[in-house]
Amino acid sequence: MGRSGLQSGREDRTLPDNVTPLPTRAAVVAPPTDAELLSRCRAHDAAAWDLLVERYERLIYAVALRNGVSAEDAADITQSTFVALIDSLDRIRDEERLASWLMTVARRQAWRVRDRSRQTLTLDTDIETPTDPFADWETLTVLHDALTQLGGTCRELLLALYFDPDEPSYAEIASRFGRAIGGIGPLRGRCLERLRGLIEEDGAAS
Amino acid sequence: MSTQQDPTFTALLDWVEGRLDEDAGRDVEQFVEGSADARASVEWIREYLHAGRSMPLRTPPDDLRATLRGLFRERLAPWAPASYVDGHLDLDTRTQAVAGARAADDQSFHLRFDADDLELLLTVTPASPEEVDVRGSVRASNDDATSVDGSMNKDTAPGIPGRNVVFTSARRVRRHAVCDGNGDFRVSGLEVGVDEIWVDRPDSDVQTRVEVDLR
Repeated sequence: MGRSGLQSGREDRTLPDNVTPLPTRAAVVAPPTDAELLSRCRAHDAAAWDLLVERYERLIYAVALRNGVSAEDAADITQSTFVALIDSLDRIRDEERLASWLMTVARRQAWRVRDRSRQTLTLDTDIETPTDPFADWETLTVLHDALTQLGGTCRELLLALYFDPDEPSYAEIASRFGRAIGGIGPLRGRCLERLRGLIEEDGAAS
Repeated sequence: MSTQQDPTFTALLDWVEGRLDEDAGRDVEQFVEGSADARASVEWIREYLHAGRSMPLRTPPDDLRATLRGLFRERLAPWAPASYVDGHLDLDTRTQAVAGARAADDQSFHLRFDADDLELLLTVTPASPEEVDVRGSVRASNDDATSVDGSMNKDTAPGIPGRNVVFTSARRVRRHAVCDGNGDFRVSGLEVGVDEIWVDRPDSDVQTRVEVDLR
């Protein structure tokens, strides 16, 4: 039986030796996973570190700020969280849950800062009982782990639509992602449905 | 019998977000009322939207972003100063009894290193089996002020502010401290595997290196 037309068509398109083939769309759009970045960081790849920071700096800074600490303390918390990541590069096992690992480290650092701040208050200060800023902690960690697992355009789109404090319009997002404005709505629906599927799979597995 | 298709997940999302016109919204609403699965989807969507609003992502200031990227290069790149001079250990209260020298507690010990033009004084306190807390001081070398007691009597030697003190293990940076206005520094939770300490010199590529054992 002969080869199909599609297969033979691919083989016929042999490139000259001096021409580098264009990367496939998948190769262009698929960002490295956290596991890949962690592995590269262990090999002292600074570019991989930059990508990890790019991926998580806003999340960690947000966790710190949500504790009601000052911007300066939030910066310290963010920095010490990433220092902890460097120190733990060889010990992190559950690489698919790097987001929640970082969030948890930042939360603990924030507790320390809050405790220290409260200790400096004078006795006659009227101390309000603090409300737990992370009553929905488990939801948030599960969500951000799943968003990382989702990865790529879907993750970026959902973050831009639902986690960006500037609340960009569909037009702005379409421009940012290089897509038609009419495609943003359906795409965000499919992405969110996939996210839900990931969370449910993960919940069923654990 | 209805010929309409069940609303998709995207349609449910559109409805929750108020993006449907009145008629379409009413259809979805009726469907949701009669479908447990659809209600579960809508509940999940609402929880997701609430989570996003409850902790929006915040872009850190530019200087912090630069620091975060620099952390890796500083801490994991091989530490390779262009040139250095070795300091030598001239006091270790773990092995040397020093008259008047007394640690703040039984577990702490003192180390003193001499280099050409400076002294490095350390008080090391175990924090856990794997970590120590270190209080230190970088001081101008002063032959008349080399006595050490329990508080590292250092008042007679001038401290050197602003020096960078780098702790390395197998030539990888583990921690970085900067001397304050009195020449003092403090590092908490330093891993005991640190085997070298480096002190820089202003306007010079030459560093001072000392070998340490913090265990």
